[in-house]
Amino acid sequence: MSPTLCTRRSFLKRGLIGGALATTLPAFLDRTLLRVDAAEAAMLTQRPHGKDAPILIVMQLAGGNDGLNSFIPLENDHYRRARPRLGLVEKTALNLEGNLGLHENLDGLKALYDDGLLSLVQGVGYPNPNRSHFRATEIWHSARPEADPGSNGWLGRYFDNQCQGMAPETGISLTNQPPQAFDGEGSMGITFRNPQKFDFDDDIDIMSGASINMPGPGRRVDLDDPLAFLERSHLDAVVSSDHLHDVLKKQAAPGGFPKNKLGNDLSLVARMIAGGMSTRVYYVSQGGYDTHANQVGSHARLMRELGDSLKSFWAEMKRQGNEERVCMLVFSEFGRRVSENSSGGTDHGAAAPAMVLGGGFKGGVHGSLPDLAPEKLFRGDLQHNLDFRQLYATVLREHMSVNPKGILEKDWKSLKI
Amino acid sequence: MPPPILARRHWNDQTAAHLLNRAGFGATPRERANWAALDIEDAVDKLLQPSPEAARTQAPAFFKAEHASSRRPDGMDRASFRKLPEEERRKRNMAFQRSQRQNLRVASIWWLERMRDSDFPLEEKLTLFWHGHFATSFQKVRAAYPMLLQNMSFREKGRGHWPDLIEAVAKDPAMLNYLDNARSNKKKPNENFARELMELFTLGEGHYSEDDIRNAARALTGWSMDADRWEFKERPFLHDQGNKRFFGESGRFDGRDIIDLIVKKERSDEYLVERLWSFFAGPHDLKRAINDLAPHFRKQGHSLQALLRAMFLHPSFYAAEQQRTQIKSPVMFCVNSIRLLEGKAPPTPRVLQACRALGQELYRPPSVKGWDGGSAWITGSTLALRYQSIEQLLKAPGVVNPEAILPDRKISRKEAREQLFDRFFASQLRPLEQQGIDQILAKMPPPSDWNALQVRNLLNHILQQPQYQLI
Repeated sequence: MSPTLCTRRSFLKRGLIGGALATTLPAFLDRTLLRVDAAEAAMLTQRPHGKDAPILIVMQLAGGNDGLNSFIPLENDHYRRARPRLGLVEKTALNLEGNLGLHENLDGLKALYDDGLLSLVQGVGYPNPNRSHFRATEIWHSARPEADPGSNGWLGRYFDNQCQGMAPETGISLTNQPPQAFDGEGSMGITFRNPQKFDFDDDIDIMSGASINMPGPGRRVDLDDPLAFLERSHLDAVVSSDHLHDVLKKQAAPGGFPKNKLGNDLSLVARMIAGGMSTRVYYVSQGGYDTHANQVGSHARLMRELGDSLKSFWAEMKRQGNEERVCMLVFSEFGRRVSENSSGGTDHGAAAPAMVLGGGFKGGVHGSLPDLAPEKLFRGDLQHNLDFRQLYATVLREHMSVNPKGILEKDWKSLKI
Repeated sequence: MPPPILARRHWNDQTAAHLLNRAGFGATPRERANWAALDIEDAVDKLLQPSPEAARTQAPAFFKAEHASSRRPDGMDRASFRKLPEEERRKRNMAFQRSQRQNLRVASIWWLERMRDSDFPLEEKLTLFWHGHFATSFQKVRAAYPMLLQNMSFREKGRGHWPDLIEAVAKDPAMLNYLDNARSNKKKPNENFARELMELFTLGEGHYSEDDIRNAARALTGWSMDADRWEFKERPFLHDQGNKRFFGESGRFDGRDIIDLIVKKERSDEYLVERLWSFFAGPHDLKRAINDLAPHFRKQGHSLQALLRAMFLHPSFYAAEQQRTQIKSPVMFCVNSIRLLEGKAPPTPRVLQACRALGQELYRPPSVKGWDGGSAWITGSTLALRYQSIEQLLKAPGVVNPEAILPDRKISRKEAREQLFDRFFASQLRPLEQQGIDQILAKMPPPSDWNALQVRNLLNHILQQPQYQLI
C-alpha cells in the first residue's frame, strides 16, 4: 500500500511537528497530507482489520525439498528401484495412512496430523515445470507461470485488493530480502531478520525523516525512482518498528521452541500474533533443501527442525486459542528427481507435496501421489495432478474470506481439504 | 562501427565522479578533480591499468602457507584420518573448522583493506562482480584456502579472455565443490554445475533445453579435484567419452567444447553485457548498451578488457538517469564511506561486522545467484542498521579526518554545507534537505570553532539521509 493516513499520522505524531524542523512543515505538508484525495479521506474512518481477522503464514522450504523422502511411498517398487540408497528411509518411516509414510524425524508433524491440523496435498505443481530455483521460486511467488520474470507477487496483489489503507506491517517477512510474493502495486510489507536490530534512533529520525518525499498514493514505487523507494521504505520501517516494539514489550517470547532459525522465526511469529500485531500475512523460509550430494544426514536434520518447529508453533497457537484463526501454507519451489544421483543426492525435480496447517481445515491426505513408473515421469520427474494456484485459491477463499479471482486471475475452485 | 564514446565536453568533475563511484569505491573531491583533468580515454585506460603497487600486495600468510601443504585437519591424509577414533576425529574437525573460519576472516579483512586502500580499485570492484556472478560460498565449501584461491583467479583472469575465465571457473576447486561437479561421474552425471553454467553464468534462463543441460553435464564429467589438496584434477575414468548432442551439434564433447559452443552463441555476449551493465551502470538504456557492446565484444575476440573499456566510455553509462540511482551494496556503503571520510586508521573488523549485519558477507553469497542487489538490499531492518552502522563508524577512532574533509575552516556555514554535500553526494541536495541541515548548522558555532565531535555529529546527520544510500 502506498503511505497511508495511518502511516502519515503516526509519522507526524512521532515528533516531526514538535521537532526541530517545524519551520519546514508547510512545504512538507503541501506535498503530503494536504493532498489527501477522497479515497484516502475515506480511509480515515475505516477500521479495516479487527483483532480476530484471519492470519496466513506462508513458509517456503527453500532449495527444493525432496518430497519423496519426506512423505515416503511405502511398498512402492518404482521408488525402491529409483532410490537404492536414499530409499532406505522407508525402513524407519512413520506410518501416516495407507501406503504413505513420514520421514522418521517428522514425528512432530505426525502429531499434528493425528490432531487433524495437517492437510497434506499430494502432487502439486504447474504446467511446463521449470527446474531453475530462481525461475521456479518466481513462479510460486508470482502465481503467474506464463508471465515474464519480475511480475508482482500473489500476496502483494492480495494486499492491493484487500488491505488498502492498512499499516505497512500488514505483511511481515522474516527473511533477508523482501520476498517477491509481497511485491504489489502499492504494498511491499515489512521485512526484517531480527526485531532487536529493527530499531530507529529517535533523535536522528527527526532529521532524516525530514527529507521524506512521500510518493503519491496508489503509485507503484519501483526503481524508476530509487530515492522515492528508499524514502518509502524508511517511512514504513519507522512506523512499523514502533508498532512492533510496542507489541514485543508487552508480550513475552513463548517457550518450548527448538533453538534453530526456523524455531526462532516461528516463535517470533507466535509472539507477534499473541501481541495483537495487525499483520495478516507472515512469510518465513527454511533454507538448505538443495540436496544434490550426500543428502541423508542434511535432509534428516531439516526434517527434524521442520517437524519440531511446527509442533511447537501449533501447540502455542492452541494455547492462544488461535488455531482456527491461523492457517499455514508450506511449499517448496519444486520436488526432486525421482532417481537418486551418483553423489548420494537428488537433482532438481518438479511436482511435490504441499501442506496446509490449521484448525480451519479438515486435515488428512488429499490429492494423489503421481505415478512413479518410469514411463509416467516427465524428464524423470513426477507429473503434477494439482495446480498450486488451486491451493492458493483455497486458502484465500476459505481462510482469508476473499474472492481469489482478482488475485489469481482465474476462478480456481477450492480444494476440499 | 566501434561503440560510441562520451563526448569530451561531457567529461567533467561530475562524470569523473560517476566513473570512479561505479568502477571503484568512490573518490574524494581532490581525486575526482585529478581524473576530470585527464582526457576521458586516458582516464578509462588508466582505470584499467594495474598499478605496480597493487600488483605487489601480498596474499595473507595462511594462504601462502597452505599453498604448499595438505589442507585437511592436522595435515593428515584422508585414510589415516579415518583411522582415528571418532571422538578424536570430531575434536580435530571442530578445531579445523574453527581455524577455517578464522582464516576466512583474515581473507575478508585482507580484501576489504584492498578495497579501501588500493590505487587500482577497478580490480577490487571487478573481483566483487565476478564473486557475485560466479557465486560460490564458504557456507558449503567450508575451507578458506579455496575461497581465496578463487578470488585470486578472478584477479588473474577477470580482465582476460572470456571463455578462459569460464574454463577457470569450471575447474576452480571451490566451484567444483560448491556445485558438485567434483562428485559427478559418467554413470549418473550431476547436473548442478551444468545448469548454473548456462542459467546464471553464460546464457540466462530459457536459452537452452533440459537436454542441453543433461549433455553438458555428461561432457563435464571428469573435471574433478584432489579434495585433500584443493587442486583441479582431470579424472578420465569418470568422464563420459560418448557422443553428445549440444546446441544442435554432436561430438564427443568435453568441458571446454561445451564452453566454446556456449560462447559461440551471440546470446552469451548479450547476457554478459547485461550482467556487467546492470552491476556497473544500471537499468537505464540496457538495450542500447547490448546493441553497441555485444557485437564489439565478439569482434574483439571476447576480450573482457576491451568490453570493460567500451562500457566505461559509452555515453549511456553517464546518462543522468544512471547517476546516483544505484543503491549501494553493504560493502560499497562501508568502503565508500571510509574512503570519503579519509581517516588514517579505519578499523576493518568493524567494517566487516557492518557488512555482515547489512546483508553482504564476502565469500558467502546467499545462493549461486549471488546478491540480487538494488532494492533487495533494503528492508526495514537493514535500513535501520545502515543508519546505526554509520553512527558507529563515525564514532570509531581513526575513521574521520576532519582536516582532510574541511581543510579550510575560515568559511561560512553555507560554504561548509556545500563542501560536505559535494564530497558525499557529488552534488547539492534538494532545498528541503538543505534546509534540514541548515537548521542543524544554525545551532552550531561557526565552522572555525568546530571541534572533532561537532564535525562527527554533523556528518552523522548528513550521512543518514536516504540519499546517502545511493551512488
